[in-house]
Amino acid sequence: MALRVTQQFAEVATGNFTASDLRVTSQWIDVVASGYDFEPDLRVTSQWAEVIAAGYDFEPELRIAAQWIEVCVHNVHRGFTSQLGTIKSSLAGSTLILGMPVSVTPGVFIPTLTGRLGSSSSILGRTMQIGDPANQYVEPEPLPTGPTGMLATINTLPGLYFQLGVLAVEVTFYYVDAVDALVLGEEVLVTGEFGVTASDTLSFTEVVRRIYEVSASDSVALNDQAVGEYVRPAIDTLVLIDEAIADVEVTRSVTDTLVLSGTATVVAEVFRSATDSLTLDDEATVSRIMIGEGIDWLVLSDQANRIQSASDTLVLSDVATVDLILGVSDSLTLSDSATCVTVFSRTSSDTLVLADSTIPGFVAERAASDTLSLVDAAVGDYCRVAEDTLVLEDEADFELVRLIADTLVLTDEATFIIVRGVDAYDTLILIDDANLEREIDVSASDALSLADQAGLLHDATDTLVITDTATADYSKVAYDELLYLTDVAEGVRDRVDALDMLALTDVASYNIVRNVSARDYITTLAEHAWPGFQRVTASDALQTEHIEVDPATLEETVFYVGLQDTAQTSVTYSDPKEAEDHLSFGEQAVAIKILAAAIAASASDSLSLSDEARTNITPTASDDLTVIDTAEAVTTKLLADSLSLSDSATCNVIRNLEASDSIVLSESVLWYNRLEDYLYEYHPFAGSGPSSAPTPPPLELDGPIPGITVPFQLVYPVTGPFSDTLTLRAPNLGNRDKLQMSRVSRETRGGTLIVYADPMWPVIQTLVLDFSGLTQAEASGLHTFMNAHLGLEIGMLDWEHRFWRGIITDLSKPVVQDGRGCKYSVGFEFEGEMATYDPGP
Amino acid sequence: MFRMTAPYPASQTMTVMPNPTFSDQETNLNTVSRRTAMDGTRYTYVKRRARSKLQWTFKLSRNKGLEVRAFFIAYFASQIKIVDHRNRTWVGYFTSNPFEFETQSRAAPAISPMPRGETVSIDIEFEGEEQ
Repeated sequence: MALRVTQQFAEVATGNFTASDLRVTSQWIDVVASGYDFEPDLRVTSQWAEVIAAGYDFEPELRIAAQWIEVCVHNVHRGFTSQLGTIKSSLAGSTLILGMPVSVTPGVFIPTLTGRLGSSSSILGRTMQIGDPANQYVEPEPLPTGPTGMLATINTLPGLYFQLGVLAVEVTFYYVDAVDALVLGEEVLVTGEFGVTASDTLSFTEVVRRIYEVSASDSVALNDQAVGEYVRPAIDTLVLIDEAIADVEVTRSVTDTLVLSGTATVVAEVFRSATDSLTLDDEATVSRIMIGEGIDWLVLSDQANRIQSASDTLVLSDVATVDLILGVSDSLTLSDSATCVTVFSRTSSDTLVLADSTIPGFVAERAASDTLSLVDAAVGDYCRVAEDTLVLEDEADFELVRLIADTLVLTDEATFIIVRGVDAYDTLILIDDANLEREIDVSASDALSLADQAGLLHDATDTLVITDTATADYSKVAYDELLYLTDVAEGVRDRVDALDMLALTDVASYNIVRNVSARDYITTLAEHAWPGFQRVTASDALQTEHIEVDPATLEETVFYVGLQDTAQTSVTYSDPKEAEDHLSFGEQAVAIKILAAAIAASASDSLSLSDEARTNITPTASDDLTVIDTAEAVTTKLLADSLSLSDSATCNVIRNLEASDSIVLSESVLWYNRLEDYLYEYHPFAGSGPSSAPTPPPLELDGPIPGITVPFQLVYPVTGPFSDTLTLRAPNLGNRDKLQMSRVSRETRGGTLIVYADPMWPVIQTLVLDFSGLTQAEASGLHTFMNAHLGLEIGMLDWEHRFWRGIITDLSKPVVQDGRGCKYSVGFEFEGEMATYDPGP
Repeated sequence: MFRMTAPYPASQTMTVMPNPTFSDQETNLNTVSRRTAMDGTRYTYVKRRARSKLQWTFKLSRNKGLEVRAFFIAYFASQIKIVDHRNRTWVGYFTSNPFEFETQSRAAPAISPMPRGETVSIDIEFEGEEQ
């Protein structure tokens, strides 16, 4: 047993002149039950609610002023057969429950209550109109008030009748107090003799079952709203499932009207985004109905207006499915528009997805027409991006029909009024197919006419892809146009010649050419196949079959000669211009079993390769040829493998080669003056040389230290104050100044002399000094000084009043007394370098 | 006049000296190896060198001696260009090691800033090719 919502009525008050301010003030639902089994459950057969607005300025706050519920009950065991009850309550005033038993006659078909749709919106308070407006209507008497929350009193009001067509129904009211609050999960309990339970829960799934021959109304008025000012996110989600199901239908009309209003309003324009999602599933299903009709009206108004970055998505699914009926009418009127009044560099996108199909099953000799008219346009002036995508599927599939007509008229156009430097793309993909199965004396015609054109634009590209099976229609296009053809001819049976002629003419021509390059590529792929044949040599002879008979065992050995692999070449022209040519071959001759009789036999394997890479103007040309030639035998006495290769890479014109050449430049300026004085004076002519040149000699001579008067003196330590000094006379003439450098001198095989010295290598300066005419004290003092500072660094003021620091190296020279008096002579070698004289304080 | 320029070819410094004393030497560096076979045949192996070995002795003033000394310290391992007293140009290397400056005698007057006037003798060995 199931309930059916036969009618649904809603009173709507208009707040202002915009559609978004509609308010549902009242809603009424008529529900009928069908079936003959009885259960002691309480059923809500109808529900009515009065909704009023809060003020005159039509604020989005509504109040449910009154709510009325009609409940029917049936209990076989308690003797309440054929008695129904209704309950009515009011939230604004006192809480009342109205029980309304109705006497009905089981098994009698009640005509459809179509007259109730004509009722006006005068439903106020406790008034209710049932049946045809021409029928009687009785206002019930004021009811007594009982305790809240429970069933108080039950009264009977005789003489209340409703004239429903030809059938008179006696109605008896029972007045019961109850509590009805707008709280989810609320229950209204009905106790007492009738023993019924009333449940009124404002959940969005409300089911009434197994009602027998009564009307039921289910009114649900919702006001779900999220209002906020100066709020970033505003989310208002309204999910509604309104369902009335009657298991067993007894020729009643079912009406299910669902009115929804989902609004997301942004008062201040500070907000970034506003999202209004309206998901609606409205379905009216009628099954196994004799003499009935199904009407499903779905009216939607989804609009996003005057908001930046407006997104309006409307997903609509309208299905009318009827089995075993005579006529089906499904009208879908859809208006989807996205309008931007003023657009500054914004993108406007309007996507319309529409699926309209009429699928009748088992229709005998009836005409079916399916007309789909679409107007999809994206029109924008001074827009940057305008995209108009129209996907259309028009299909008419019938079985066992006499006439099929499927006409598809499609106009896809992208038009720009003012175009400045904007590319225009117009892609038209069309699939037109007419298939007939099991046809008997039926002709099928499929005419495909295409008019694909792109003109009056810069950089126009027009691509036409045609796939035509069993009939190749050769099209002729021009102006940089690509044409792909696939032509296949297959022979199914044996011994049938297969002929496939493919004539292709591809022409690219220009009448007036200004700096335009024309390219014409013709790529053909012809394939020949002979399935089912044996020992057939193909025309290209890539592989042949041979049979060798062993004379000893008369066994036949089948082997194949030829290439086992295909050869594929590809030439790619891209930027940078490189040409690659890969040629792969695999050829192998393997003798698995070699008998003794094969001694006199010979095996030869010839492989000819031609691998070439040619480029006209190419920076790099690479030609790699890798060949593996192997002759293998498990058991043999003679094995020969000859491999001849010729690999060449030739470039006729080579340009843009990279060359590396380092030039090191150095600059030097040198001059000299031919004066006689310069032959004796210290005057090196030092100019400017390269940075890698050694340090030139100083321009000024490092002369004597001013203020020094001693002829020769040894001091210790090097820096003052000196603790030990020894003053001698100047050394004898004939003293030597040695410069000993560390350098490497080598002579090459060609006789070239190579001399190298690192600047870090030391330069040893040695002074060989001999003294004579010394007194004994001076000679002894020198001995004493050398012994005292043996191996220590000392200072020396030479006879030219220059200061040196170093060590005395040669102590072997003796002190010789040449005569009496000051005739002592002595000598030593000093190794050191010139330093700064610092006698100390 | 005798000029030494270094380094070669990007010359940076030139020292101008008086002509060397007599007894200068110029030696050919080619070599000949002689071998005699068992039958008495003579075989010669010649190794030719383009360069020559030259040796000069200079008698310089003390100041000029110090200039030459500084020149040796700076370019003792560099390629040298020498224009000798016969106005021949040589390019090669110094081969003297060590360089010995010997103060032979007095030579008045002293040249500023040195306090004494002296003569300095220096022997220079040089190997190079005549340009």
